[in-house]
Amino acid sequence: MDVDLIFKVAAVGILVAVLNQLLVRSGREEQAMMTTLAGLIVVMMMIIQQISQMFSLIKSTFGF
Amino acid sequence: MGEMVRFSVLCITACFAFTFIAQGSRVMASAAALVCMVVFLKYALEQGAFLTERIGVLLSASGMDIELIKPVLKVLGISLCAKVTCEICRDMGNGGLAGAVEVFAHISSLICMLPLLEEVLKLVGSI
Repeated sequence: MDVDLIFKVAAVGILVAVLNQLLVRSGREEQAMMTTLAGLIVVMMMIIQQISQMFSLIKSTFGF
Repeated sequence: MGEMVRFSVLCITACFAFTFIAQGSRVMASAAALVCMVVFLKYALEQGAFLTERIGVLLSASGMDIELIKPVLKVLGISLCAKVTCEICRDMGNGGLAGAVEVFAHISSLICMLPLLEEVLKLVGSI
């Protein structure tokens, strides 16, 4: 099980959450939104491979 | 059994982390939850691959035609995909989208079951 991937994503999530709060509190909502968007893109790039592997595993397991 | 306990502990720990992340950014919490779901589901399916092999062995031992079981396995896969997709949609607040996925899954399952229905009708006709 890819537990280190979960910790990587959790780290990115916590980092983005903290940055988001900091930027919102300092009145920079646009930068906060950009930071969240950047974090989301990073996470999606990390996960896209796993999603395709999961669906091919479902196909092979259930004989699609 | 040990794997199940480890699985549960990891899920609960992940939920706490997402609760914290959601305070700062709900989008990131949803993305992190999606990652965890994919990783856990992949791990569970890898354990399940052994199951389908054993089903094949049992079927060949029982002399049943494996073509009759394939639709059942397909419907099982469709329901798994639908269940996971619907829960993700509902987590992110899209009940309508989840409903659409469910309807599509029902239709796909019915289509998969048609060959079985034909086999039954043939069987009844041959009596």
